[in-house]
Amino acid sequence: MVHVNAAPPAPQTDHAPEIKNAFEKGWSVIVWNDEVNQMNFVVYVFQKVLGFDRAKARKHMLEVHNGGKSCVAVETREKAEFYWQRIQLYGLHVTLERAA
Amino acid sequence: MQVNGYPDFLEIVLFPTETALLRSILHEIHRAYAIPADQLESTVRSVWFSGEGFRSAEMSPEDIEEWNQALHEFRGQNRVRCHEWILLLAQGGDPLLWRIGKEETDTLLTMLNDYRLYQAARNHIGQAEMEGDFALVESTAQRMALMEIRFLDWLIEMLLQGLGFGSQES
Repeated sequence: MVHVNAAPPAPQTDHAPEIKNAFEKGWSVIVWNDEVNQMNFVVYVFQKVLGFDRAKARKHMLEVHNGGKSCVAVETREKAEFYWQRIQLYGLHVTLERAA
Repeated sequence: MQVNGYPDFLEIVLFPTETALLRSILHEIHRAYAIPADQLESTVRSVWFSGEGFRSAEMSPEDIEEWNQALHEFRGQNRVRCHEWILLLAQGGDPLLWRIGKEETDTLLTMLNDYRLYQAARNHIGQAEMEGDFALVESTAQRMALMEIRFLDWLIEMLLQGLGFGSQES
């Protein structure tokens, strides 16, 4: 009987960056100020899409209004894309950026 | 115009002029939703499809194409509902009582806001025009667009209040 006491094979690392990218909360969803969308409508969208309560939604809306932009979520790529598309469908100016 | 909130639906009370205006707005949005992104006026495309976000999102041209197609199809799906509402408004009434399910109101809000963006983009309306006295605007097209935008501001605000999303303080 032969006892093999070898360590398990090392995992292949070829896909490591993709896996890290998929699971890491490395993407920021940024909403930008624009001249047309109504403040209460922006609050509504934040509540509806991001599940914010009214106070948090209003805080982010005011950040957008007064500061020009607000980071409303830092998420995995997949979830950030989901938020991006949903917010875009409501007509808000939104972008996706790598989180700092 | 008035919006009354009930547990499962909103009742929108529209007088004939308001009904006619809303019907013409829905007609135009129904037409515009059918136009593919690459055939829209560039100003409208930039607000409905927001191309500048793609670079920071590090998307390939194929991904961008797919993304825009998905947005176009989503709007296209809303055309069916839009057409039903156009027919409903065509029935008229003085006033017309339009009962809309709360789950449908989100689609209506999205459409109405899309139209505001559409008109603002087509008529080069920015903050100055939005906040100014529209009666003093020289261009007839711009004045008409501002009138529609303000009518929709009013309707959207009342719909949000009817849904319980409006606020007293803002």
